[in-house]
Amino acid sequence: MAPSPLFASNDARILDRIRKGDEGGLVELYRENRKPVRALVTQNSGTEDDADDILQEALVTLWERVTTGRFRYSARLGTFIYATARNMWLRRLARARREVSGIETDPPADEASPLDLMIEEEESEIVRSALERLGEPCRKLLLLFYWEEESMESIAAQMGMANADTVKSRKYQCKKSLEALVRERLPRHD
Amino acid sequence: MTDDSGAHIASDEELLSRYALGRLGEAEREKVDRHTAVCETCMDALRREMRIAAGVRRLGREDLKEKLKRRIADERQPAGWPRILSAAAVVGIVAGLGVYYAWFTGGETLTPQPGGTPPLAGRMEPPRQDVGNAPARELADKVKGDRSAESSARSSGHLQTDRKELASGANRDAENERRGAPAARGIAASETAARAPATEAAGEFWSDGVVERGEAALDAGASRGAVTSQEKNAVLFKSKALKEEEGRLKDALPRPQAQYLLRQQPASALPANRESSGSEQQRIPTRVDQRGSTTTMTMYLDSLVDEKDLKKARVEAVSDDSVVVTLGGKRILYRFPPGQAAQQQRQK
Repeated sequence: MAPSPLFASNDARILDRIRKGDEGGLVELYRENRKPVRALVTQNSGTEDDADDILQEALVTLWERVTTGRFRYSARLGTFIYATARNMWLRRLARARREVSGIETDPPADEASPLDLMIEEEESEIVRSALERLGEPCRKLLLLFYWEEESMESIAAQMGMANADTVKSRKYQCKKSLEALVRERLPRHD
Repeated sequence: MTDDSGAHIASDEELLSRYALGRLGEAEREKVDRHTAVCETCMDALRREMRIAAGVRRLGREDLKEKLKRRIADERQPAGWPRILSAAAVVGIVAGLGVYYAWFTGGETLTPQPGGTPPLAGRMEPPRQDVGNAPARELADKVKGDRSAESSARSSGHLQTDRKELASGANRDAENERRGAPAARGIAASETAARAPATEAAGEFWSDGVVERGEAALDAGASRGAVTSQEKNAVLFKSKALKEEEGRLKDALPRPQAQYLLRQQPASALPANRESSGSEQQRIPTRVDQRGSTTTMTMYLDSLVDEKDLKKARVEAVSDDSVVVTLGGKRILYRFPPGQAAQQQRQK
């Protein structure tokens, strides 16, 4: 069912803020959804800190989808956030093998991208820590490309590079540097 | 790129990236899947690309989460700040009153003179050893003392006491006079009697203006070792608190309608019993003459100021018994007998 115009109007405003890269939109959603998510988590073996963490994760997921154009508005944002937070919490509980009462323990609906499912968390953590050791220009470039999903032209403009080809060349070098760092801790990364 | 004929994709950076970011169309993605199913080299290249993409996005998510946490923390602050600011305001007001009290009365509880000297004259004449005559270190010590007193007042729940006492000094004096109470900490009767001019008219009195001690003066004191930087900061803090308190009082009071006339005379014309103290803190003996709605303040200055500066000078009643004169970039603080500064308003 489509969201009511009242919610749709407010949601559209928040989505617009997110599209513009304004984190304030997430803060608004955090305030609006904190109570129900806290109730969900604290009534299912979690703490208020767990609830806040899960809610932030759900908000980051929304951000990621919106900014990469993968978000499809089919229910009000509050519903999306609650459902995402719920699935994330269920997954976390399942991982921790906790007993949950009064809540379904079926595998959550897949809100993660195929990428997330394919890549082991441990591996991505190794890459993440290697990125921390990479110099700032490379770190920024890779973040703009893989996280912000900016175009080569946009990255060139943001980083003061001559053109898209320069960015491609630089990105290739950065990746090689990163792979070398990853290989130190993940020998099979070759 | 790749095709069904089996062309390798391992060296196609753009294709690998687009696949990892989920940017390929369905048909294109299926082609890559078919090829990598049979080409181990290309499959390894794709895995590396996806691992890197996942790691970068993980970092991006964590960065965003951190930003979000900070924003949320910032959002929560407004609820806490008013309480902090309220507490700070209370401390500031109490500190201001402490300085105010110390500055104008030397911290003494001034009592009326049993000999019949008008109590106001006693209040208007701080003893020679008061804060105005003290070197900078003593001033700082006084500030510390005031803080202790404020702390004590706060802890005993008598936060309002100082303020009430300050405002009702005359009443207390009058009461003491009725009882014939001795001047426990006040000015000796003889000293006050000697200084109080016997011929003072009812609407005329003297007040020593105290030039507000600025940062420059404190710096000078600090360079001589007379004040430590900590003491200097304490004084400056209290000076700021005083200004805040003045501002608050000004807002609370209706604007005086009375006219203040400012005049100057050379210090050499000062009556003999009004000699300058020669203290480190600059004091300006001033004769105040209130007639009707006009208050004339005649300042006896060591060096006369330019008439233009005198005309530009601003006189403000900041409470019912205190006046601030801003003259030539200096602020000169005066203590009037209680009600005298506000008297102008009543007369309007």
